[in-house]
Amino acid sequence: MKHTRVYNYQSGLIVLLLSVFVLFSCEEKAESQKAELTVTNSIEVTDGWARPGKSGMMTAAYFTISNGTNQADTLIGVSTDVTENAQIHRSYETEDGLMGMEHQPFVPISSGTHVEFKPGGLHIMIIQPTMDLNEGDSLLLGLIFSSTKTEKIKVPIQQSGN
Amino acid sequence: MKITHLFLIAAFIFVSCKSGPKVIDDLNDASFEVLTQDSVSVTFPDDFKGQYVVLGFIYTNCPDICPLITQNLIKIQRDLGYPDDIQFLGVSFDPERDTPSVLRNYKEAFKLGENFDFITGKTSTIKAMMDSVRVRTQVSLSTTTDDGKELYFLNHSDKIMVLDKKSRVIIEYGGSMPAVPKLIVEDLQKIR
Repeated sequence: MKHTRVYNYQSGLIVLLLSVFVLFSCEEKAESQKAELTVTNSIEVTDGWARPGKSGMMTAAYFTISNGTNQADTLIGVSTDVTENAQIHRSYETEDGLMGMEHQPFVPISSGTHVEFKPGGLHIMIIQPTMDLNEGDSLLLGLIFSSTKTEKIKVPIQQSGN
Repeated sequence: MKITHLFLIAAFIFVSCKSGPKVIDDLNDASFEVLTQDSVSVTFPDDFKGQYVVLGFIYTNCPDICPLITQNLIKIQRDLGYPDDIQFLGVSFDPERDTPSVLRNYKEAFKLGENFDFITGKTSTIKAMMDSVRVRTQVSLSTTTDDGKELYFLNHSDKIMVLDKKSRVIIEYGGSMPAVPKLIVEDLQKIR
């Protein structure tokens, strides 16, 4: 009986500690989300870069989209000055443990959030560029949003992100 | 009783140290005639006996995961100080499109130097080679470019492995994982 009481006391303490931990975790997360995104009343694209590649081959570009407006937006298309063929894709792991890739016709960007395009996840597939993409050069990306706005950014060609 | 336990622990440590890394697979019976990016014919793994071989498996129409695998191989070579006794290989599992000249372009894009080669070969040979190292592929997505060309993509295993000097697979990790270069460098430093 005494043993059971001790057990219950310990369980209660564990539940209490877990609750405190969850509470603090949630608060911290909410805080970090707020801290991460400055309200700019605009869509901003930062930290862009593209991997080197040879003419006619395949490569990818990455960046972060921050939606500092009070309205949700959606990335619906992409263009670049190095090929007519650029698409939004996402890498993922299949159920049987293979690495795959799928076309993303659009990517929603909620108000006050950011979406990272990064290696192993969302990326812009640059299909068969018409010129060599050498380290130190740059390329232009046009990101087409459903808000009828197109963001144009120049991204450096480099082996990895900063 | 305690002395017996200590003796058993000591014996276990001794045997573990003596036995070296665990052999995952033995490729000694395998033999594949393949080509490098320079169209040089090599026999895998026979021609690499006597040196460690770090292999990654890629195809060049893969814009995201395979460059990560290649970059992990590059980091391992760099962090080991470009050693002469370790051969790095990027093996294509898409030999129909990844001809030697395509692989040569791929190597140039990554600015790779000595002891780092890409491998392709006859479709049947590469298929047998992939089976022997348990690398799986399946055609997944296909897309049509603006000029009407059909492009296909592959789902594939994500793997980097290390062969010892006797062509035995002794290390195997997920090829594109960020932590992999550090793990393989540490493993190789312990066993070399």
